[in-house]
Amino acid sequence: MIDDKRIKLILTTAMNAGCSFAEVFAEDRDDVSLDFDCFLKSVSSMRTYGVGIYLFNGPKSIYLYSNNLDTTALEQLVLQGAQTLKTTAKATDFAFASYSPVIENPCPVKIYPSSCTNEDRIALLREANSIAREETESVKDIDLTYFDRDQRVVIANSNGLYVQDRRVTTRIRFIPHIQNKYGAISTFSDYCSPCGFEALKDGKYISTMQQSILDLEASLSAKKAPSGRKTVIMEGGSCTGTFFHEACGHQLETNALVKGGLFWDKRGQMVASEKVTLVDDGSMPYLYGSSRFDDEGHPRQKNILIQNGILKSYLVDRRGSILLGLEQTGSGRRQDYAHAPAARMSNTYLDVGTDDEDQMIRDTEDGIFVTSLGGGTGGDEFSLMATVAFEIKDGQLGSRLKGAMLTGRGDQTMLKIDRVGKNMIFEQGGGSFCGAESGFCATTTSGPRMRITDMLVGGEG
Amino acid sequence: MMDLFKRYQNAVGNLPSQIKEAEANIETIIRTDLWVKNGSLSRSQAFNQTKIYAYATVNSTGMVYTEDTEEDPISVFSRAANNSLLLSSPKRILRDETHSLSTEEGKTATVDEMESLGCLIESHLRFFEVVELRVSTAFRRLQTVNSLGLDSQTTSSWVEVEMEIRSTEDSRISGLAFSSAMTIDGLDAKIIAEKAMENAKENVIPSLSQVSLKSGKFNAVLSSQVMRNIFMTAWLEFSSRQMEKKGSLFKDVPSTQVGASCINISNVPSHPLIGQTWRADSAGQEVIAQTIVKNGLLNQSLKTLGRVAQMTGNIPIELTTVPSLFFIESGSQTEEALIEKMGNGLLITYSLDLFHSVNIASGDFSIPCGGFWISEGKKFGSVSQLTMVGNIGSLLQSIDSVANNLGFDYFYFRTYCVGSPSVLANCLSFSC
Repeated sequence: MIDDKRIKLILTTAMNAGCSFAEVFAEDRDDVSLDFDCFLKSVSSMRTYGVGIYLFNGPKSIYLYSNNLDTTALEQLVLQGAQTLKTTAKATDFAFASYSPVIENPCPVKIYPSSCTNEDRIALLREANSIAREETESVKDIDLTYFDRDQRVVIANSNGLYVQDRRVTTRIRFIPHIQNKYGAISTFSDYCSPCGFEALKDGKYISTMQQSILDLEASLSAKKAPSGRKTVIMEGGSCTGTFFHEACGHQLETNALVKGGLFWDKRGQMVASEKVTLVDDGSMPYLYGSSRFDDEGHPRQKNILIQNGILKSYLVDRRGSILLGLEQTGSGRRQDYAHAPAARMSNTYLDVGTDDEDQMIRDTEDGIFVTSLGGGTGGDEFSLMATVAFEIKDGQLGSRLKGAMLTGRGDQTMLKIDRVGKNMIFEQGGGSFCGAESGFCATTTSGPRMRITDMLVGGEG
Repeated sequence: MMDLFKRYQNAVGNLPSQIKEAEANIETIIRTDLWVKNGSLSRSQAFNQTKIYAYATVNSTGMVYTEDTEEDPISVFSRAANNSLLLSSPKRILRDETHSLSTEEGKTATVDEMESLGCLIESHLRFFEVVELRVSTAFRRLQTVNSLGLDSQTTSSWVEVEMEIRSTEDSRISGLAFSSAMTIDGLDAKIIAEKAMENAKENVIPSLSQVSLKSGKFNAVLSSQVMRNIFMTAWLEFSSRQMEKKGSLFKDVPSTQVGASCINISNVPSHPLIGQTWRADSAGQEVIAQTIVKNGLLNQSLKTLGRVAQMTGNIPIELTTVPSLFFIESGSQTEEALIEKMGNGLLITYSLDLFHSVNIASGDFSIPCGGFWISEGKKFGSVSQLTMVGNIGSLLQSIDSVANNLGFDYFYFRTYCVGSPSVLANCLSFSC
């Protein structure tokens, strides 16, 4: 890790050059990945090592990064940055590392990657490989990849903030290749954990892998999804949460608001059905989107975005805070030092309601029940790919469907949620990567089962 | 300290005895991005990053990636060798070819030149305002050295502009433009501004009412942007690696019919529409222009090696088949001529979800999209929230004609570019 002397030099140089604010994000990260397909195909070690420097001159900003950590080169980089910003203010004093908030790690680690051997990792992949191949005859092959990550960061700024954080994640990716009389298909699924190797030792990843194999196999013989407007029931867990992530989550981030997005200036207004209370919380224990601090050194916190249908707050990073005059919400995130931070979601969930889950299906005449989503996109219009769905006819679950693309506008579709279940399902062991301007960040999406009265389903049936 | 590449050149000549072969791929990118709005700079980004991919063979080949430029190259190769000891297969990935390649193209711009260009572009806007206007300049150097005698260094510098504008009279009307050249002199502010305004006019005509369609099969003109979105991932159908592991719709058999006779697909190291060049692939081999599809027949599979950005934020370590500039070649007619030829049908101008909508193994796609209903060759009304469903193979076969408006888009982290003109396709399935 870059030493404090160089961090202090960067901040001092920036403030002496007349910047109104300066921040250093220093990163030293080790990743290990192993590819397995009957035998070990590769072992790779990766070290991400560099520094990101954020300079402000009032509302104007420049983000600089480099892995040339030579003192003179860093000083030069900062001076060039200040020159680009055309700083003219007088040098301001600051107290380096004058405060360091103490926050408990929401994801304590038992087995750090450095104390885990490659033999341990290989044994796990061997076990997964044999279990997967025995699951069904349709499994013709399976590619497995094990990943672990140990990220150490120091975040210091010209307000005197100095925090250190260590984030460990472990993940196993399965890509089964399924082939039977109905055709061939392969796609990936991940089992993710925000802690060490201990997360895979309990074997819970096996049921995730087995389910993904069975889902893929079943999709080959599934009926083509219908098209048209339908009642859609989203199963609790990641389906419900992912809907909100794409339907409104990205529009509540300051990067969208700065451009005048759908929800700017709508605080206090009804933007969803009154059944909807939506939360984003990066401080939740053992969830993939959690950490002690965001990537700007702000403690993670619970943010109530929508309460009983009323828009309450946004997700705000430092730049968004400066440009829009909003309080930071612990949401400034980035993939690594090579990305400027931006307001991003973390663990997004719909809060529980009062409706009976089974009754939702019984009360649906013609609709679809979505139990797995393969991803989607957000914006003014959103889309969600349902990888596992079932038709509902006269209150009964029917055939399995394939190729159902759900689309709509967030501001219209959220008003059509008429039932929210009583049972919260968090995406434990799950999680995925959300890609946006500040790179790929770990997120989870959760919630109880819910019903949308009218949604556009794009299928071929 | 001695120049980084020189240290790796020395190291491959002085390897520890247990390492039989070693190779380093070093990529350096120096880049500046400026965002201009209201006549001045609003924010910017600048970086200088060097990435080292090191391979070492004992019996198999192991790899290490590092951004620590101060680590001794012998120590880096030794760590790669240690990783190889766990591998049971006698896999070897270094190429035997002995050659030296050295190219240098383009020129970066200064911050002042870039800011002036941005302001000039903005000044050419009439009845439109900037939502976002980015001017960037970059220098990319790829260096490869190995113990078998490969020694290559290629550099490419370029300047590019990307902008989004919206109407000052109706905020629903917005337009995009992208332009790129080897030097800043290759970019014309007026043309870029006009391109964005033209795009805005094509995209939204609010006076047209929304048309309600019933699901079914329609002839459709897919805009250049929609085709680029599809082939941002669908190029994988032509990847030699993908075909090898039976993960593609197509088999690597030359002369197989993969599309209509008007379809020609190429992968090239450079193109006049893009300032960046790819003279060498990520393993230091010269990128040779390849005709992938000629008159609808597969000529050869895509073979360029590269590292594709991971949709997880992980370091892209695996060398695999990745295009450089992959594109469907232009036809001779304008997009307007294609619309006129279609008569009645859909003009699809936007699509969503680049990364989840095409299954490469089966070729099946479900693509959320929208655009216009065309009646007797004229825009009759707008359509939105459609899903285009089908298969990449059938889509390529159904193409009746190809327009002359080739455009390119970068993939994440600028690892490659995909280009396509608009096409007229017959009988595509849309659900509404």
